[in-house]
Amino acid sequence: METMIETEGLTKSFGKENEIVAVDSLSLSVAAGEVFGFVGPNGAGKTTTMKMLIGLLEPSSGSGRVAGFDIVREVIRIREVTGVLPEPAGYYDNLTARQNLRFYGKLYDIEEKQREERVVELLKLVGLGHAIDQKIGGFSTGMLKRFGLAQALINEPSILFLDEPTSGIDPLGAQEMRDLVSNLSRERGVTVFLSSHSMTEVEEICDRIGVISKGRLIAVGTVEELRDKVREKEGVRYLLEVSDLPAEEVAGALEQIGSVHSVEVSDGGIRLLADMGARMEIAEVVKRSGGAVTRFEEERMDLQRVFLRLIGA
Amino acid sequence: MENNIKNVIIIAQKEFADHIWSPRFLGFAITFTLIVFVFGYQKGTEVDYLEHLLGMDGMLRGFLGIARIVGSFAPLIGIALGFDTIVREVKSSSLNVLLTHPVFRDNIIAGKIIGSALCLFLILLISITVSTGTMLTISGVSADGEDILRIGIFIILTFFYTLTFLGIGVITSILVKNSSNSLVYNIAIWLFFTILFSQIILSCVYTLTGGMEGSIEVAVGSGVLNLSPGHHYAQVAMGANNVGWGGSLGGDPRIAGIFDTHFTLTQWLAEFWMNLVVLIVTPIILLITAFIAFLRKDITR
Repeated sequence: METMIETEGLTKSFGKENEIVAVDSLSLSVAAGEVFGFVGPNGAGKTTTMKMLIGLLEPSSGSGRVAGFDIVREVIRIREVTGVLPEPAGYYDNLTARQNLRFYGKLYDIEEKQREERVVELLKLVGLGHAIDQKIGGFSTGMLKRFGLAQALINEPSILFLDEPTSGIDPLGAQEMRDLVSNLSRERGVTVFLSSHSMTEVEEICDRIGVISKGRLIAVGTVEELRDKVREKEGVRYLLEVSDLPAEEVAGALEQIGSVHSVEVSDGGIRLLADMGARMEIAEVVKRSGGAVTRFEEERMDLQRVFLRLIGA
Repeated sequence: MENNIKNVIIIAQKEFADHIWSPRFLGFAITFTLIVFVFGYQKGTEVDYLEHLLGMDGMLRGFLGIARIVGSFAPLIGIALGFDTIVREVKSSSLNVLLTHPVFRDNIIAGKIIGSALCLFLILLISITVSTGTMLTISGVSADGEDILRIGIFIILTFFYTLTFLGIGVITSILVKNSSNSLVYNIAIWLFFTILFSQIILSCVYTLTGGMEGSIEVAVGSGVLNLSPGHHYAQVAMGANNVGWGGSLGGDPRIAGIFDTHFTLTQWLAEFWMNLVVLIVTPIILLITAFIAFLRKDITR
């Protein structure tokens, strides 16, 4: 599959002697049509990375290509094929949504008639059809975010960079925004590079996720792959319920298994922490002890917990 | 290259339109035009009195009066156009968004300067045409082609003078953190150059030498005065040392500026060419400085 975004050892340092390393040797790639989530704590280097990818900041070292264009030498070519919703984003309060979008549209080679049609079409797409001729100064935060997405789409980009696209907006607005982004990827094949603090959002719409902490990319993969990373590192937590035998007796037998690290009896059930792949062995031991497994499930680990474990919080 | 020019024009158009439709700026420009108009009207009524009762060149004095009032207050238009050019966009984060589109930073600053300069020129053209036209109409004196040419040159001189303050305004707007600070600094610069500067020089020279009669004192005084953009403007427009209340440092030139019809335009040019060069070069240097400052600044939030 075609690679739309790729970086190799991308590094950005600040300070007189480059003592503050905001992004450290970042190497990643994002395939065409993929929705890539970029998560990390505040100050982890998400926005700096995004700024380097769209040519707003020059890397201290390393390289990167977006849509095949070099992020240092071909900045304008990159901006011609990408759409960006930065954070913070501001627009011209004294102009209407149509006038604002028209202004951005003029910066691209779009025929006037087509531009005017696209302006209306985009504002309708983001749910601002009723506010086309309203001044931006009177827009709510949610409306501004929607407008931000419209301005990012004015050039029909093949890659979208979205920095915190749902921050500060209500749950309904956030959901609509997420649906819009998903649709853009699904229906138009747009590659999305999304930075967010909302794990729900990332889990819902992203195909793959990159976790960055203190400037370093510490994990990349699907949610399941990230879970596996945590499982490999910390083991798996199971909840086990057994009939025909007292829980304490089963717990005693399980403690003898090498791949089981901790066993705890609570409310008639058994909570245990074991290595990945120990599931069969646990079931065998229970069976050999004369018990019958009535419940054996892995404790659900949502992305929030995966993220916290990965960054070592 | 073609795209760059197109982008500069788009940004200049927007900047121009923003100024023209801004109630704050419109209010300011109308007030300035009214002041100059009223002054032109008053000078027009005085022409007959000055010429017939006092035997003075009423028209010349009228034009010099207009030049003095324009020279004193026109810099405020430059300041009003420039003081928040960049800081406003940085604060509102609109620059953050604009820079994600295919425009170079130099397109942005060039477009903004051109848009503001066009707006400045338009306001000066209207206000000076209205005031001089009013004065001529009220006085009943008919203007010939050369008079109109002199008025045209005066508008261009005033434009370059005011452009200096636009340049200072844009530089300040790049360097400071908020618009109100920028405005205060610009007003202080205006007050310093139009009112205080020549007074300070006068006081300093007088205090240090005990008088203003000697040639050394005059040379020192006029040399320092060369640092003020107002001095060069006052020389070419009025044949005076400063637009404000500058005393008589350095002695007045024999030609009373662009409106002195006792001398030809060639004679005027020969007398003031040095001031003219400084008047034109100063804003260009300032605008280039603004350009470089903007390109070097971390402007994203």
